[in-house]
Amino acid sequence: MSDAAVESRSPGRMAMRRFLKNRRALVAAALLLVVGGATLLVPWLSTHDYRDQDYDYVFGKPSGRYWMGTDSLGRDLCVRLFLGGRISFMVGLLATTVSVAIGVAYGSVSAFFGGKLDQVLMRFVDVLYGMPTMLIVIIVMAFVRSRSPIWVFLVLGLFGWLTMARIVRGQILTVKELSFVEAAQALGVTTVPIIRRHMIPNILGPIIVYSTLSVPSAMLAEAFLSFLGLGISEPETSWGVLISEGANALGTEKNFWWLVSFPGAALALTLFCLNSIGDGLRDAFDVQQRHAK
Amino acid sequence: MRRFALALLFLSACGKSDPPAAPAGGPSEAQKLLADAGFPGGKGFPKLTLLYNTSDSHKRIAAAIQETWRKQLGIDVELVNSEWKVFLDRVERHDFQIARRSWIGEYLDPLAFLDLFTRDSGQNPTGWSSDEYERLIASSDAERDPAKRLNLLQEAEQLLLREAPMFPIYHYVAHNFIKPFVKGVHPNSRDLHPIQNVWLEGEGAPKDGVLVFNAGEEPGSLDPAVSHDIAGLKVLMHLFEGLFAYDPHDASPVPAATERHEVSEDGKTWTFHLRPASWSNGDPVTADDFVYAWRRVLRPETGSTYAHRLFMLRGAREIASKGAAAETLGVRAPDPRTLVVELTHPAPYLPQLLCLNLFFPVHRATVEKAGRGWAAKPETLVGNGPYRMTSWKVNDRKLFEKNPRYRAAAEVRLEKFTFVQIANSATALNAYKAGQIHWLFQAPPEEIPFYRGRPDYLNNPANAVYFYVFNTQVKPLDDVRVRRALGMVVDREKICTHVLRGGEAPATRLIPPTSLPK
Repeated sequence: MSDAAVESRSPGRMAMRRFLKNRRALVAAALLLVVGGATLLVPWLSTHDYRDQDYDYVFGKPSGRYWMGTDSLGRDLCVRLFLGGRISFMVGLLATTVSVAIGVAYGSVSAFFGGKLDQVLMRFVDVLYGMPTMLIVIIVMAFVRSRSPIWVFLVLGLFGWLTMARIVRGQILTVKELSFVEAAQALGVTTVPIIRRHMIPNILGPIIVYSTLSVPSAMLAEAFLSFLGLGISEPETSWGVLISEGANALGTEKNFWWLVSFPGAALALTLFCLNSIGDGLRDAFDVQQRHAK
Repeated sequence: MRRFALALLFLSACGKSDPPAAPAGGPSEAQKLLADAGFPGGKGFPKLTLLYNTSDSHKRIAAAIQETWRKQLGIDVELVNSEWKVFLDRVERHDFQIARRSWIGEYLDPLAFLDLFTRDSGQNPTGWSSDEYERLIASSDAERDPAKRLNLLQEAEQLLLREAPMFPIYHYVAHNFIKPFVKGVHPNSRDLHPIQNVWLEGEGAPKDGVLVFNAGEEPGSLDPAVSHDIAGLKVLMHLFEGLFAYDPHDASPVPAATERHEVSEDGKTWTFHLRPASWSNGDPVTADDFVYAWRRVLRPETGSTYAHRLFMLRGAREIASKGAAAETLGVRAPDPRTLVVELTHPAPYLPQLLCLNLFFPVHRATVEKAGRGWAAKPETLVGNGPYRMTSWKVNDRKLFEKNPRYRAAAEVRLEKFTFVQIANSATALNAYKAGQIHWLFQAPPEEIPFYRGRPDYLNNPANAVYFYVFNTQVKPLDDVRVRRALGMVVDREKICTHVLRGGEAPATRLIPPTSLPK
């Protein structure tokens, strides 16, 4: 740890510097900003409304009038794509935030205090693991009569934290035995700051990687819920919904490729960016790798 | 007949259709009605939900109507979809505001559609009923003159459309994909095809001579008294033979188990003279088998959800709903080859009903010995029809072979056929293209435009209607002005041409043209 002591900078700022040197992660972050910005700006700037049905252009190919073509009701795909992006981004980010917050808190408390509490908390997780998550989500969504997207975000997050809790617990168990934790305890630092200041930064790598992975699964779960009629409903849309509709628009004879390629590309690009950023962040925060370089 | 109707929901349709009727009113009239009801420009109108069962084409129709209401009336509705069984349950419990429905008329007569909205009907979820409507239907039952009867029925339909507990959207078109080597198929408005008159000939015909037909969803039951879906009828009409059966050319009723019949002066007593015939186990078919079967349908313990179709038989209603003894039914067998049927009112459409599985005879000894599960195994499914089932894999396939004991076995052209149950229409179409299926009656609607004009694609108007119902018990749908306004602005023609794209006929009335005299 001598290098860090000489530089005398905060761990966060050092991580930032390392992140900024990572070309790939930077490009990915820039792309993500562009996509994110477009979801905000395009629906606002476009002359088309996402609900307008132009029956002269049903299943219209991409053209000067409709840049990405139109869907089965003659609605502009471009506007719907970026508007759907808003929902997908929100689902991905909010559901992940909720699940990360619960998972990290739960896992670290369980590991830090150990003993009986650990046993009880982790057995509870095991029980929840035994139940199919999607089924529970469906049951809860069926009880929530509201079709507001907020519920989709919350419910997906509320049931998505189990793996995160296990990962965090395992990591904390390792870190707990290390000498700097002992040192902090010897200096009289209380439990919560020890977990927050000293332990969590040391396990950020796996947390970040796992959260970037859970963003796409949340987006896909939303699409599934919407298909069952439990997620968002027409005329609102999301990438998951657009892709599943687009996949239906490919048949043995019909070939409305734009309905699946544009939403698919948007989702793929976003997931690629998120994974690259996740990689970059992990490298930046990873204490072990820092010395290896 | 609800499920009958509903099983064919996905029947997307195609083809040349009758010219659309004039729209019942324009947007401005609807806006005025809505303003009169206290919602000028849609202001203050509560957010309603529109319920449909999960399916791509229902969703597109709902989204198109949702947008029309928003644009023309300033009304926002929320679309809610659910799985088929949940959807049915919610509609039956009146747990909806606006819902999608459809109906396949089981006989070609306006009454097959109009009696949905009578008080007797178990299929009216709207909560609407009308004394005037009941009176018109009842007097049509008593009317012997066909023209006058039709007038009464049309008057009832007008009343229904005026009161608007529902509004029609389109009339279905049946479409079939049939390989060119399948000969002897005649498109008809019932989309029912007796397979015994079909033969295989020409290039590509299967060497084993087995016709493979996609029958869609697995039938709910193969007990003639219980089965209530079109998939069940398609199987049962080959295993059993009623007094009348479908003509292969136009699915009109032709005498089958009966040789001839006489109708009394008042139209209420029908006497049928049966042909000599035997069951697939060798026993003779007798008039008593019919009496037993019909009583069985009406007995509450049989659990037929469809018994009300027999209510024109004298005493039937009392047996089904008031606990009268089954022996009181007005159906007698004075000798083994004679069946006397008494009706509560003249029913000129009786021969059409007699083609339905509810009126098929059953083999009493088998049913009583095997108990409730008698129709669940091919071995105990003793029938009097042209075929017998040799193998049955649920949700997969059924194999049929000519029944050598059928009374007209010599006239059965096709020796063997297979029904496969592929419910997903896209999968079925792929199987058809790959040659695994020779005959397909469902296809994804968006695909239809690509097949129009091909020789293996047949279509014709079907005796079925697609409509929306209102729950008239909830505000503001209790106001007839609101209901009329909502139904009036829907642009049926645009929905048919641009959303469905299969050639369906825009509907401004409930009764399809196929159920009206030419």
